[in-house]
Amino acid sequence: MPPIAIEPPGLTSATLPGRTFRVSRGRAIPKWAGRFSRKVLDPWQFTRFAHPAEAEFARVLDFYRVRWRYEPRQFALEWHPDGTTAKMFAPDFYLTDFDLYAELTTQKQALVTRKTAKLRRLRELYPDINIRLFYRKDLQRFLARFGIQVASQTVTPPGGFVG
Amino acid sequence: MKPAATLAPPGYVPNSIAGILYSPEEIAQRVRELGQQITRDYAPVGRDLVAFGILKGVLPFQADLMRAIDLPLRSDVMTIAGYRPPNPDAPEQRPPGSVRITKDLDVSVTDRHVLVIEDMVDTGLTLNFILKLLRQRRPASLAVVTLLSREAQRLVTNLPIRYIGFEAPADFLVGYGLDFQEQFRNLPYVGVLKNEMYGN
Repeated sequence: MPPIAIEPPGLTSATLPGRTFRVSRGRAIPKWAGRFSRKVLDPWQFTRFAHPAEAEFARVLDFYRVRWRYEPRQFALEWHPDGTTAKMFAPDFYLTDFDLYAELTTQKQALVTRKTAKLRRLRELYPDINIRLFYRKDLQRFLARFGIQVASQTVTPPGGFVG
Repeated sequence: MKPAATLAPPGYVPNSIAGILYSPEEIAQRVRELGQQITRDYAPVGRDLVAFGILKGVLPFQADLMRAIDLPLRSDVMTIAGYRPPNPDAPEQRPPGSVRITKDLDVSVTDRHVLVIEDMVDTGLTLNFILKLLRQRRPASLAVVTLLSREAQRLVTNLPIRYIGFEAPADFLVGYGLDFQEQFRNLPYVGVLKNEMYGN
């Protein structure tokens, strides 16, 4: 059975009164699809991530009871002369408890120049925004502490990666 | 960073170590300094100091630091169940869903001055969990001493880290209690793990 996108990222069944889901192989299935349980779902269970490392990162945050949202906001970085937005940037995670954005990159160091430039621009335009950039090496080290290996940069499948 | 072979007897530096970041002598010197500083700062509180470490990585540092603090104190250890990823080969073996204490403190911290001893503070997620828990027990004060700190990767800000041994670089560090897959804790120095051991 293919994964079912049920709700936007960042919501749990606790925030959706009257909704219950069951979990099958890590995927959230609505109760009207069959048997159900009252298990409260973690957001990663029905968020589509762009990379498996992001799903692992989300699991670790859940483990430490840190509330997060996945790509909740887009920041305009450049504008056309007519005022429309020319370039946007959506940090991967927002950690609600710490008012902090986290951007993960799994690209090799030599390929992250564009992302670094975007982050620099973001900090110039939005100086009140707190953001941390995790390079590939940082992610590898962070996840290796938990016995998780970061996969190489992969092509995101249609629909993204499910936690 | 120094080449590993120059600072340790042949055969004692595993092939997986790229080099030695802090030698046993440098660590001992810094631990002595931290001990002296803590002794000065906590001298006025008398016998009310509780110092505890978070197992397992902290063991060598805690043992050395305690002996460098020239004050009466209560010592203890706490153990936290760390994150374990689900095993795809054994989906029925579900890892713990959230962080929890597997060995709590035996001494009371209420109305006492508490010093949390850490081997390394990286993102601060573990420490944040422990500090939240301790605050509920209403200590007289709460501070952290860590051998290594990696400020650039901190997700949790405003942690009361009062004493830092060394600022850690972005490398994967092992030795002097720090491990990779439970290995290298017994190395007397802090070394840098070769990237190929954990990266690709």
